[in-house]
Amino acid sequence: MNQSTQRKKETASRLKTRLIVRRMVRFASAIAFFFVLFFCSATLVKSVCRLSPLLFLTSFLPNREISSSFEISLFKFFSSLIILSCVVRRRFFCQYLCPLGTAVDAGIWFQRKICPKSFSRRSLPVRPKLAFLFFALLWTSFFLSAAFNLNVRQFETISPFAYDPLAVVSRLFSYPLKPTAAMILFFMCFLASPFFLRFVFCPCGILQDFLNIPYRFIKKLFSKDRVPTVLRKKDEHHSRRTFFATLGASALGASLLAGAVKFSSKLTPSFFRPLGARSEDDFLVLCARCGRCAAVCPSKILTPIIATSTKKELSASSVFFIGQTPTIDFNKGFCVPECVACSQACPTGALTPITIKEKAARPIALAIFELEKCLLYYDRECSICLRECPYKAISEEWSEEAYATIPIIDPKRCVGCGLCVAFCPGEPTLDEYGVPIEEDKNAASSRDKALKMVMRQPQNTRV
Amino acid sequence: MFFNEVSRRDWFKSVGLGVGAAALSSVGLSDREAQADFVSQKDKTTGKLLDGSQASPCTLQADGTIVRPAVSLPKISETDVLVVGAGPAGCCAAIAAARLGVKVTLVERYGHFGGLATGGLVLHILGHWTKQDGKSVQVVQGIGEEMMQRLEKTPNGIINRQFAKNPTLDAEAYKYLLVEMITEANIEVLLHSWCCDAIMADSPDPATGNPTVRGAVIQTKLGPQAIIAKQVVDTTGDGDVFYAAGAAHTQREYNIGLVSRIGNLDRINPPKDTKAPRHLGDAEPVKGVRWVNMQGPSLDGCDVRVLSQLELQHRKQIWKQVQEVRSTPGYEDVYLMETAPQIGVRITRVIEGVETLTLENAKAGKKYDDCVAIGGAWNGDHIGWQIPYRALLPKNVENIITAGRSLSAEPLMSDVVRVYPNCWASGHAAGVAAAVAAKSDVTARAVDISEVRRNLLAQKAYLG
Ligand SMILES: Cc1cc2nc3c(=O)[nH]c(=O)nc-3n(C[C@H](O)[C@H](O)[C@H](O)COP(=O)(O)OP(=O)(O)OC[C@H]3O[C@@H](n4cnc5c(N)ncnc54)[C@H](O)[C@@H]3O)c2cc1C
Ligand code: SF4
Ligand code: SF4
Ligand code: SF4
Repeated sequence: MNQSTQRKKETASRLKTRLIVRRMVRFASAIAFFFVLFFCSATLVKSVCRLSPLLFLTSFLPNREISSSFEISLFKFFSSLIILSCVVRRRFFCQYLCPLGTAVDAGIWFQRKICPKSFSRRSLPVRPKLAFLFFALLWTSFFLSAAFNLNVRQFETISPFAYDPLAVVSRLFSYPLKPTAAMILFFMCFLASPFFLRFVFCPCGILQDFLNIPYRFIKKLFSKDRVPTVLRKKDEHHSRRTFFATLGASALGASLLAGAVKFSSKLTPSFFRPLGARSEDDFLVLCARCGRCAAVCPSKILTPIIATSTKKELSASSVFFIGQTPTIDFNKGFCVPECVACSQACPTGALTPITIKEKAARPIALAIFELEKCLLYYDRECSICLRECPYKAISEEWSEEAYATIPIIDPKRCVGCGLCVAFCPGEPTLDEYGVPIEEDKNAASSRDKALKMVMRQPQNTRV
Repeated sequence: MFFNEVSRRDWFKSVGLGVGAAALSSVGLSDREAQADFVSQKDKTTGKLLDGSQASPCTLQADGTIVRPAVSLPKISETDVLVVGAGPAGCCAAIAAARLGVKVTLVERYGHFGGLATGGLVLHILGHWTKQDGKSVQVVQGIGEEMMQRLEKTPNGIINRQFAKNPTLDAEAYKYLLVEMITEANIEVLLHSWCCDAIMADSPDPATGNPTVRGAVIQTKLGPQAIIAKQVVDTTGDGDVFYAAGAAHTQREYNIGLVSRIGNLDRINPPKDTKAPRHLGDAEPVKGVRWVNMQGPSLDGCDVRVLSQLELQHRKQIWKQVQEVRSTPGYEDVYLMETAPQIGVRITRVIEGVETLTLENAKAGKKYDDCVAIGGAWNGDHIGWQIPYRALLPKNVENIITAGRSLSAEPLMSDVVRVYPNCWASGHAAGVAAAVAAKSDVTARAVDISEVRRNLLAQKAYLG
């Protein structure tokens, strides 16, 4: 009796020290994460994002990043260690590293301090199994489809990776902060029931659960007698059920996937995607909506867009699921010729890393030309597009018929950087008689330009 | 009196000595007495009878070759700095050199100054503004800026002289202003003189072993005449002098158009919602007049067959264009005022300079330690780019420098170089450099760049 109290006391103190250590580690890693996010290079941010088991696996599988820098390889090693830790220790990432979890817990702690009767106390005591099953199924099928490069057209609006905790945090600080419905909703859900989000919804948490199952199962097989307490039994009981649930979920997911694959067709994107974007189907699934690409873009042309390939506008509730995928807004500027930052910054592999050399072979759009808006057509001196195009895609031809020199864009050379559009002074403004008046540079931006960026259709996409 | 008693040489001298305006009036136009004398003399069948022995024609030999006899040429002038071609670049060069106190001779094939800017009716002053760190900066200053300032004081001289805007000048106002500025600067002027050859020293330059230019030959109504000079500035645009002197260069083909002016645009009265006709060009200082540019096909502007063909073709087109305008309701009063006396040749020969300007370097803002001018952006939308002295200097010939549209640049860069504020700037630099070289009796290659830059700055040029 005395001994058992002693043991209990010892365990309690051990647990207490463990708790303290855990808190310290969590705090430190959260601080470190934010430090990296704000002050470190894009590659480091990307590598740190990949410490999330979910993002690491997604990036690893489809990306097949063969050559990578020492930095990236080193972090890949760390990520692998974390995954291994998750295999042997339940929710290792959640417990020690997740900055979102830490932030939320800190928030709850604070909330309880100032308002003990807060509603967030009423977190769900038991895991709502059906909901868990639903999400486990959903996320698994997505994960598998992404991993094996399959098209899942049916689900184009939803991606598990958008709810990866590191993606969520990164997103908050990537796009020029414009609190969207999705962000507010997400945050409110957390406040309402952190438990729900973390244990039922979070795809990264679910993944960790899966990773841990085999280990627990084996451990249970070999050391049955060493599980004494009722609490543990309950836990184990639970884990067994989870295991079966998961099996079922995976089976269901696979069959769902099979159906999806059967009906899937190639999507043609209706938005300009950043450099190195994979096919629209893959992109929509793989993109974690973390906004890293937009954060690193020197000309700030990447803008979050709340829409999918097929539907232009969506209701507020669907916004929650979709998040904001990055698109290029050529009205804001052009893609800098000597920059490949966005493709390199993507932690998930939605954008394949591209080198400057490869850039010319990865067009992001296509410039088209309209004769009747070109200054040359009105006998002016111009040819600015010809001089500005960094890829020498524009040449000029004299047309006897139009009696004008006409810029010709070679779609084989045009990479769709939008530089020509940015510099094109465009159609002359007309006075009240319809006579073109002296160009006014300030008005140039609002003017109709002779050049325009369009989506590349498959037939004019380069291989 | 006019034909008999005033010897031609004296006449040239009197104009050349810079009392041009005075000389003109003393010749008799406003002098009643002299005029009366002139008229009475004209009625008589006078004149010198020449037996033709002055001729030295070429010979068609039996083998079909045509040879020119070796004859010695009369020397019409001896000068410090000879500027050939009085376009925007040449006028700036001549004025800049003359202001440094050296004797300057300016040769021009036509009867007016201004080159394409006047005879070519190219009126839009593009390219002296740049964007530097988000701010607009005027990079072409010096004599070019002085010209614009003086045009402002000339009636109907210039419009749109505003911060960060490209102004437009009037061809006649500019022709007049150039007459004023060139006579003020005491420059010896030889108009209607087509430079047809270079004169070289009989031995190569001892320092470099390159042939050395000693002057140029002009084709006049009296046949070829020689001008001897210490330094030659080739601002013919087509590089006629360095071509004749054997300097390395590239021959380019570029759009050749014919510019025209239309009038009565202040009288148009189209009904509402009429689509404006296409070829209405741009406004110029004179009310109701617009200048209509033309691109034209990309061909060799040194080939007379090409030029002749294009003159015919473009004239037909302009006529057609104007008829199109006139047949638009409300535009019936519009008429064709003039077609440019000088066809619009944009780029032909470009010197192979010691340094060659590239668009890439210009965009990157490359710095040169011998920077003598800064060029601007067409639409004031990018940074200024430095023009090094070495881009005016041929690789393999001494004592000749070029400026204007023929300076050393790759094709896309030539397109930026050629707009005329940039020609003003490079011409200004060439004039100062030639004067400094002539004064200090060194070759153009050996000129002291710091001295050139100092003088340029003293003449208010912008060097960054
Ligand atoms: C159709 C057209 C439109 C243009 N539009 C614009 C515009 O809108 N804005 C702008 O800024 N620029 C424009 N430019 C460019 C600009 O007008 C010219 O590039 C610029 O005037 C060149 O100046 P320059 O002094 O180098 O040569 P030029 O202006 O060509 O002057 C050369 C002078 O040398 C004389 N010359 C030539 N050969 C001989 C010889 N053998 N002997 C004696 N004299 C000779 C010529 O008669 C002429 O006077 C245009 C050009 C063209 C052709
Ligand atoms: S490659 Fe283009 S779109 Fe991507 S970050 Fe660079 S500038 Fe922005
Ligand atoms: S978008 Fe314009 S500038 Fe860019 S490559 Fe295409 S043609 Fe060239
Ligand atoms: S920049 Fe625009 S207006 Fe100018 S030539 Fe090109 S298309 Fe025409």
